Amino acid sequence: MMRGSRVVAPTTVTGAAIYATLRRALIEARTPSGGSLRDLLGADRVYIATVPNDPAFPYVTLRLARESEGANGFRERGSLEVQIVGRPASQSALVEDVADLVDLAFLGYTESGSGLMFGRSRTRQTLPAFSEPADRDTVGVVAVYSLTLWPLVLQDRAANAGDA
Amino acid sequence: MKFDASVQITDHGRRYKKAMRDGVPRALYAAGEVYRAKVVKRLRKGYTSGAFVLGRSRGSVRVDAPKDVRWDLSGAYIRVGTNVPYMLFWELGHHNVFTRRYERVEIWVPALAETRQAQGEAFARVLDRYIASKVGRP
Repeated sequence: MMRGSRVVAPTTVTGAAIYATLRRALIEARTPSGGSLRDLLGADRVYIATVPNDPAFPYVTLRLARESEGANGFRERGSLEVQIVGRPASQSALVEDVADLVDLAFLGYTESGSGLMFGRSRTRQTLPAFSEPADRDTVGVVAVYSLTLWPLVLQDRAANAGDA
Repeated sequence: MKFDASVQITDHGRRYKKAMRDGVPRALYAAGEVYRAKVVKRLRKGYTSGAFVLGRSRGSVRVDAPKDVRWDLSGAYIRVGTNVPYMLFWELGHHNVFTRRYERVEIWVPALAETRQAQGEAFARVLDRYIASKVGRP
């Protein structure tokens, strides 16, 4: 798909594309002063679903759970879990700053490039102090964004089923 | 005018309303028990190895008593939870100091989704029986 001179990947054409779209939305988000995730983290450390065993901190993880909601299964309710984890504990303020940026990216999120995704609410919690067996020096924030999805991948399946 | 038969109409509205109010906490407790049992069953397998789950953690999974059911503007709710903090870390993921790896084993959230239907059935069954015991069946 082309938009002007810029190539934009299909947004909801596959499950992996949905993740790529969400990840891109986060990386492209800007604070009111123009700061980005890269400015805060020093790199685009956004992982999907899991985390390397020896990551650099802080990092962000995205994980999306999808559930059929209506319209014969074409409309889905999604829960996008975003974790921001820092180490050592002195990164707690930075972790909260990153969580603010994540809010800016997803709290009023609308993506209608192909298919449709939007989010309007979330829960956000700072994790309590970790204790064994968890590393005591890690700090984190967990936010879960409620999304509504009309993913193109499901519409394509319906079209294929109709052709059969 | 003389009638050969009569129909008596009784207003059970107040009794029904009270039975509903008193029955909902019991029904919620039954639904919570379904969820609690599923969590405990999953915990028996342990986290990555049985070494990370002790009887203490399984025994810590509790459902609020019916008297502790809370009401707010959206309705009534009951809490199911634990006071063992490391279960939260396993559920959300953590960097484990023993395995030296990132570990995450979800038990609570999948169990909630899996038991949704059974919770609803337990709720309906207990509430129906309770109201019938107080008001009678039509």
